[in-house]
Amino acid sequence: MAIANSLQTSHGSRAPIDKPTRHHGTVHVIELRCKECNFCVQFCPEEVLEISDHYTPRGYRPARVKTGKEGDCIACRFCEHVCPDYAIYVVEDSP
Amino acid sequence: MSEARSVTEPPNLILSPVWDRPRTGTQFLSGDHACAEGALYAGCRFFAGYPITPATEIAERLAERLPEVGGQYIQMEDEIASMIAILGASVTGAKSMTATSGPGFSLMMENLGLAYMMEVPTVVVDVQRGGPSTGLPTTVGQQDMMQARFGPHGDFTSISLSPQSPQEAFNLTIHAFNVAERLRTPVLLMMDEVVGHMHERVVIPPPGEIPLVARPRATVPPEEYHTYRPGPDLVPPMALAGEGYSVLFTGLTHDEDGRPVTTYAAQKVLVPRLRDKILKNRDVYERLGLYKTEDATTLVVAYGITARSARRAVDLGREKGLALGLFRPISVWPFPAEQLRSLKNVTKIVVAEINLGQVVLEVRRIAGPYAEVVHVGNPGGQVISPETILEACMSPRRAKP
Amino acid sequence: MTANAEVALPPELHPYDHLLRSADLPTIWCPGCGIGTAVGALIYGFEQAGVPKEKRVIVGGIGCSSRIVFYAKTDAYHTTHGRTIPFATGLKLCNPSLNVVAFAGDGDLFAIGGNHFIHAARRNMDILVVCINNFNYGMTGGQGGPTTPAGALSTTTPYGNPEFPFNLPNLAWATGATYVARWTTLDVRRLRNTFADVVNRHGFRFVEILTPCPVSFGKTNKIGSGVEEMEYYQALEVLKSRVESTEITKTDIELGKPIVVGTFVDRERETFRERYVRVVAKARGSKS
Repeated sequence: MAIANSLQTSHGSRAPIDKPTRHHGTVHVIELRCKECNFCVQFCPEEVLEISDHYTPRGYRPARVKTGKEGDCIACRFCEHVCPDYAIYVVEDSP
Repeated sequence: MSEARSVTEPPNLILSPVWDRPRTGTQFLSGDHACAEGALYAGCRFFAGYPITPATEIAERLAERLPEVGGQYIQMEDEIASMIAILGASVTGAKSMTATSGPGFSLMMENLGLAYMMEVPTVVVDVQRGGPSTGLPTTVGQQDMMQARFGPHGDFTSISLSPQSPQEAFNLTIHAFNVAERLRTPVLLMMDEVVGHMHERVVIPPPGEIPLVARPRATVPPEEYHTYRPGPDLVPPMALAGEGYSVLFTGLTHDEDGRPVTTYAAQKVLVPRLRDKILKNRDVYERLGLYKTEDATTLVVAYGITARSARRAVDLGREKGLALGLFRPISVWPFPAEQLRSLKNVTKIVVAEINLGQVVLEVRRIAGPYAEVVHVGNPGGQVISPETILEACMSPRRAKP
Repeated sequence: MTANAEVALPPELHPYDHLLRSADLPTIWCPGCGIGTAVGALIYGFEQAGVPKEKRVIVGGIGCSSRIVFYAKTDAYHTTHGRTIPFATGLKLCNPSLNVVAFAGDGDLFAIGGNHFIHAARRNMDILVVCINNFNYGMTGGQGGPTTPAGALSTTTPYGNPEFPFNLPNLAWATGATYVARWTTLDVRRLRNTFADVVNRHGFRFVEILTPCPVSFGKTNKIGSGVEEMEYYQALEVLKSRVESTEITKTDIELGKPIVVGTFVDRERETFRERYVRVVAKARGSKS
């Protein structure tokens, strides 16, 4: 059902089936909450994230999006879900 | 994925008690049964307990009676679980109670301490038997009085009531609930085996005749509410589970929002308040029985079943022309010190209790500077006779060392 | 400003901030600890299942896991060590409309609180019990406990644990739980769906979550950091759902051996509450 709906465009005509919609997301990191546990970096399926080279006031190097990988997030939100510190989330870009 | 079953929920009589099955009028009840009826009269609709002699009859009575009034009886796996289950019940707004004897009372200390710290109103009944340990399961003792005062670790102030008859067990159980609700604190009903098992006439008045007290409740909107911000009487108004306040209760030292703050600064605000909310509200709980004390020079201090022997001893002494009087702390803890000091003629105090010297320590602390304080007691197993008490009253004053 | 404009989140606001006591973040949990992940999954479960905010109640005990109460914004009770389940029992019985979760660690629930667990399961009490199993006592610095694998090192088993651990799903099944699942924090998707599925159900439900404890268990047993412990799970996990009763004994956890995860038990059984409602009807009906 959900798949069928996703294939419909807003004006009702069918989207080409060989051109699936690719989700894109923008990653936000709340640096002050990050504890550099690496979960998001390690388990991101698109390897979008890395540990940055600066320190937060709490002494951790927060996660960040790799330069040049900004458009590669597929909005799977695994980083958001696995983050134990509510320090990272994804806003899905509207198609 | 299985569907959640729909269960037809009966109306929640625990939180909105109806009192459609009162057993009013003149009854012939044991102290244990009178205590159970007092709890029902007070609006108690949750009892969690574990069988133990000589308190079992309270559980048995409530197992029968609570379902009749829509209440909840549950027999837990031990007294630890019983004690904390009644706290879980109370945070929803239910009036809750457990009943036990010495060995179970020992197990309850952990979560009794939590109740003082989290400020959860509830009532704990200890029908005392001889100890230590398994001791004398079926015979009397008054040896848990210091445990009632100091049992859980840390500093706190206990309110302990001690009835001398089934009628008083009924009345004091209601009083215990009223005090617990009013001050958001656990209240201990320190009965003894003889009062628990003796059958006497108990008059249960119609519903409403004895006033009931409800706990102070949160009235401000959630964003203005602080779980542990005390009112002028030092008692914080209580928001119940499910009211939308996102309350935070903890046994850790905490700030006014219930956040853990494990520092000296937080401790020195919180712990003295827990003490002071009891000590500065004495009129809420203090009860005293005085008998022929106006002109008494020798005073018998006794509570529970021993107070009845003491009263007889006073009468026997008066027949012999002795100026005896009875000072009966019904609220044993905190001890009514000012009332004791106000009896100016007293030069000798006999403290009678079925132990080797517990409440006498407090009496000696209060009256030691101006009166001779003598203890008369036994290690448990039998009631102290009036003659034994009278003898102690008549024995010559000890020579000063 | 249009009425239907997409609500843009300011960069400092996580989608769960309104469901957290967010002023108290970051949490006290160590870097690489997975408890926060489990807490997030539970919050998701509440949201997804449509549990009204004021009906959510979390009861914690003592230990790292029980610190959930200070971060998840629900009615929260931080009780004594091992006593989450009987507290939750009293609470749920007196207000059955509440959705009560007992959330604690393996030492809390199965050492000092083990007796309460088996009896609540036996009664089929209407609570969801969540066990953060990190195989040791984290808060006190990594002592061995009832779930420490045989032979594993801890500060109190310096020569290797001579004891055998509990198999928690087996214990829960044997004592009467109606729903039993085990996930690791790496299975966060399945964990979230499990919570969404079970928070609204009746009966005694048990979810075990294997969680990294890098500073104690992971370090002592040379598993390594939190990420490395997650990779350890990734390498050893075997998914098995709805196992037969004879199979549940094969979910034991041994160091370096495969770890079976999944939904093991999902069955119907009358709850304590359902049975007690009939007691009330009988008592009220028989004496009018």
